[in-house]
Amino acid sequence: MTRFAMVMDTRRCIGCDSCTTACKVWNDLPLDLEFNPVVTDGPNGVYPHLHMVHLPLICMHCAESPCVHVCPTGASKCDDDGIVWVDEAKCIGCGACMAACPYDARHKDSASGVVMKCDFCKDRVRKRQEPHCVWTCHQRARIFGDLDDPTSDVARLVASVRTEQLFAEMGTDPQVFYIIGTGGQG
Amino acid sequence: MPHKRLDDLSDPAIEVRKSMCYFCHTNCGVLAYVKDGEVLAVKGDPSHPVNKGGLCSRGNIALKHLNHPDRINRPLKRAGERGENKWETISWDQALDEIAERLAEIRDTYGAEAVATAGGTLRTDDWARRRFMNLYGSPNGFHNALLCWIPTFMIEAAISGWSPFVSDMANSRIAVIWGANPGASTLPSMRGITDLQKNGLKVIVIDPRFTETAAHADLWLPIRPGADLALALAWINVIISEKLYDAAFVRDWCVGFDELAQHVAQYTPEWAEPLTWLSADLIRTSARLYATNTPGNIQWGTALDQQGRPSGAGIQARAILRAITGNIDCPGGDLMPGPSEEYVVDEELEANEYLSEEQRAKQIGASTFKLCAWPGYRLIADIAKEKWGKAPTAEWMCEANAPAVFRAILTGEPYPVRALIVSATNPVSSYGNSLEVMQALKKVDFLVTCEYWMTTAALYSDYVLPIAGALERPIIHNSYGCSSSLIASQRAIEPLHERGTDYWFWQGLGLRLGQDEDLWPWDNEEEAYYYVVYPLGFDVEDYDEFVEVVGSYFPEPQYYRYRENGFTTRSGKVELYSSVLEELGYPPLPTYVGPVENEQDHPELAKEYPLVLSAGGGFMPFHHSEEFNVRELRYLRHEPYFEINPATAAALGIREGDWCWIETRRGRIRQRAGLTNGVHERVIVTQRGWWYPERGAKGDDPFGALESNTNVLTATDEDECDPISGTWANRGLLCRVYPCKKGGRP
Amino acid sequence: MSGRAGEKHVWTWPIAGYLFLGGLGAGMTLVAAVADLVFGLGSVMAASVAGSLVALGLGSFLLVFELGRPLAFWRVFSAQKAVLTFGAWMVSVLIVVDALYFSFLSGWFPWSGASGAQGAVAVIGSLLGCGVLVYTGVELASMRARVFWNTPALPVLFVFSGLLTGAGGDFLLVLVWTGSGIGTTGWAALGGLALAMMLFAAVTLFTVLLYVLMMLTSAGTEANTVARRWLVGRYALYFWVGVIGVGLLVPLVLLGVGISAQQASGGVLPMAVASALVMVQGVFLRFLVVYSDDRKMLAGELRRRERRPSGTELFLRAHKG
Repeated sequence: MTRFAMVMDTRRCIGCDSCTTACKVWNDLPLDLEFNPVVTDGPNGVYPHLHMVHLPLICMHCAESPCVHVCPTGASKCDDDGIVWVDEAKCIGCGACMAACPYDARHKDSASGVVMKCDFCKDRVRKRQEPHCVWTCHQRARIFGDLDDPTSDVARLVASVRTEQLFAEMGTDPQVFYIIGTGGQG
Repeated sequence: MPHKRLDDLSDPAIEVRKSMCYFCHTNCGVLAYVKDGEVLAVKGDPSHPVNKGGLCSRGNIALKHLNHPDRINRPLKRAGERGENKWETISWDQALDEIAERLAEIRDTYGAEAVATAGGTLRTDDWARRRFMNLYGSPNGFHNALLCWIPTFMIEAAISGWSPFVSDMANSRIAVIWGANPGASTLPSMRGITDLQKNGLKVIVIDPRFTETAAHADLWLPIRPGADLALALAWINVIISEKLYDAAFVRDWCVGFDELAQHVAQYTPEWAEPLTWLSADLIRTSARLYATNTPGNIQWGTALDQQGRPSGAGIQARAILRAITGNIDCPGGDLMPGPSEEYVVDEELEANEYLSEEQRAKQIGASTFKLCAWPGYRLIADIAKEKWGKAPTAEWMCEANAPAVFRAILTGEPYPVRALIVSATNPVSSYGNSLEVMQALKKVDFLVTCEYWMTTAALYSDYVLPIAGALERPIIHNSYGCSSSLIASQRAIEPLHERGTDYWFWQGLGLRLGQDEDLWPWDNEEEAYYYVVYPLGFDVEDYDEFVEVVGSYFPEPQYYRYRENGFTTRSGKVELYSSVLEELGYPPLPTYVGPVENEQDHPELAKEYPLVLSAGGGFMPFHHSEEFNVRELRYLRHEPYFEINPATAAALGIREGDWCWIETRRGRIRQRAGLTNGVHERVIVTQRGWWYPERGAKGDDPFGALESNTNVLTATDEDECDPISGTWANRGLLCRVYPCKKGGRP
Repeated sequence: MSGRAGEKHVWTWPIAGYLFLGGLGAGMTLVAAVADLVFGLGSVMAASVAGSLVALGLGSFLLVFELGRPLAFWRVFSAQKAVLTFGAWMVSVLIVVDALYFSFLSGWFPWSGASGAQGAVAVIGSLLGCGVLVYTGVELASMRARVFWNTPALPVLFVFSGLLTGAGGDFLLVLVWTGSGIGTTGWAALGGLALAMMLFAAVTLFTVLLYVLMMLTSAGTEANTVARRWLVGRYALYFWVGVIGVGLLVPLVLLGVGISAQQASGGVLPMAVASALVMVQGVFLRFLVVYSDDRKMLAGELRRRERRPSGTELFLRAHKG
């Protein structure tokens, strides 16, 4: 089986937003839509003893995806390889999935009225190409791969390094794993 | 799905061209997918030695830039009053004919020196500009590059024969990142650092801001803006007094050590503490960290080039630090490439020999700021030519002083400058003291601008020429012509519409002014670049094939080259006590002078302007004042934010996001308050480059080019500039900050 | 986090209207059916059932109005397990049942008065009424991401608030149906509805205060923020005046006055006014809840959001063509 996942190595992320732009340009998103922004936590601490972490965000492709459960039309799907996506033909733009998503990963497109979201560049990754946010990253802070393949970078990292899932307490079981830390460690 | 078109690049009719990104001078390699003369997609080139496939936000908008509706696509001739934004579209032939006619007239009436050219950052084929100016007879080309490496290169060349600017990072135990933020401005370099940190590389960051890079460092020194000289002197003091220097290297390969030791005895960490706002302990700890973790490198950062008066001495002190720790030209240290002995360097393309001594002597500012102009350049070039038969690039390294030229336009002193050709820059955004620059642009008799877009400079021009961008021209990057390596790229497509390249412009102008056709022997860039790379001896038919087959040329790093023939200085050693600076009338040893405006020397001013300003460095996603038109990038940062400590903000009644005035003696600008404890309570850091192209050419402040422009605040008076190099001050200025009244606009 | 310029809330006024009208309609049918089945007052409740039908129809229209693709609304019936699908089915069936129920109660049709069939329809209607009442709260409460919604207390609050508006609506429509000749049955119905309203208003008042206090003292900072917004912040006026004052306290007083003077026709007016005023709490409560869709935020998310364009910036409109 294939189970696509991403690791975000915040020890490497510098918050440059390259992923945000690459995604927007290559996926031809409306100007005001961002599938993977980067947020900055910090600088925190007492000057001059500070620390700062950048969190690259994206749809978490939750294994227990609340957005799929609430969809009244079956437009929101989770495929066998773990990719959560929206079948635009079926979407009526009711917004239930947007309300259900703890990660603000879904947005209604004003032109078409349907909900748009990151689909892990499924047409690319199923052809063994990297998602746009991944190849563009100078820092290699985003690592993509198959969690069920023990030789993949994501599987190796998730097995060997302490990772966190965002808002894990909501029971969504995100398939995006964060290595939290500052520089000099990654 | 909209992205299918971009993603399907398997069509056999698509040609993949090895192009280069041009939106900063990291010059990342890109693959351009071209079909029927149309670029379908641009991706990071995974095989490129610089970026290894990565691409920042700017690289990703290459197609938006290429096809941007704001691009100027045909030569424009002014049809109304200057600044009225009325234009007539004309042909290149007509434009070049008329400009040439006017330039000939000026030369005949006032002398060739009455024509100056203003350049931007490394963007253009500037050897062609120099060639034109030399053949035309004017010594008054200049760039804002004094803010960016040129003083560093020339002072380091004066001391050690060439700038040791190639860090042998992979073998370093420590990297000192001094006034640079690769985490926001040179991402491939940041990746290298991050990778090496895993293997134990230690990193010290010296920066008033807690930057993206500082957040990843082992030690952060939050220095007072502009106080780098004091820190460097105190480091030398610690390293010498604690005997942490490389005694053998100093004995065998340096001159002036005893004089230096005596001279820096006064510069103790305790002395530096109130100047740098760093504790004496921290200064000692950091100096020891650098000196005891050899081999190590000190990364070049623009901050030292941008401090005005203390810049030169600061750069000199930094160069001395490398030398006394033995970190020059050794594995893991700072390597000194020298000019390429294997391919044709920029200086050899410049035709400098055609500029007469009489005209050289007329270079504006050269008698005051000597090193980066003919008096100093000649000394360094002569020594270099003796050793290598080659010299540093004269364009960049030997120029008129920019603030002095703008003043010459305004005052007529030392003589009037009648014409200005602007290329690859908007001087209002990118040179110091913008209000003065703006006056000069409005006043100069004849103004020509080569541009992508309508900018303030273009708006006041008599002619605006449409310039080809990255994908429309081949590029060779070799660190301002001063490296032994090079990276080369292909033209992806011929220039669209009627855009032209810089080479095309200067050559066209030169030929029309009667310059010898034999002196412009190349029909296009590819021919010229083939001439450049030909001596490398690769079996290729033309430049295009060179890029295809070779692409980049990086000779094996050579260590300890000085052991054969010595350093390229008069003494053959590193001159801690600099004979070149002494001959030019400057202190031969780095001697303390305070930041351009500071609380010690100017207590009255400090009462009025109690905060210390840094006018800001690179921040994503923009490069200088570029790309503010590109909406995909503007969306990420659509308004300017300056950084202020929350305690200071609270005391001034400023809340997060408030529009505030930031004011120096020269003027004021407005930006929004970004509260962060990443800056000292007395430090303000503005964002640079801001203008609002969407507002159009209307009103008192066309394009809002002055409203939030940090260069309104910067200092360029003669006594504020570095006497050695002539660079002006963007850091270490005194300012005050106060909230704008509701809805207040300038 | 991500999101677009100017986007503040997942849902806006049409959904608030839908939730209000859904609760109103369901409450009206349920209360009417109980009045019919338990107290034998069905003969004066015909207009109430018709009113329920209208409320539900109007609510459904608002829901469709909020959709990104209104013309594809019929797909809402297609999922298997989604709460929204279940709710849509219930609302639609309830509209049909209301129509049937009206045909029995109105006495206008040949089959009116077939008490067995009427009883069966009433039972189905009351069950569906219960379902829809609960569903409007469950739809929001099931959203784990939304701190102010994600509690079983929300359906409870919506049920009582909906019953209150339902009883109020029934009261007004009993008046309309009976016209000037209220009659014994009419008086009995009005008296019962007024008592029911008092009960529902008291419980709603208690529940809503408890709800907000619970949010104020809960662990999540976002929930505290919302509660403060209700109690003392941006929403305080709507909450204290709209929901608590005009929507609950004033009707309670008016109902008290009306009930004590019930047999005199003077009692009808304050009770009728109260019935109208309880709609205010229904509307404001739904609006406040829908606009309290705060997510738990990541550190730094708010700053990024604040620095994002609002949607009105000039550069967004520049060179579109």
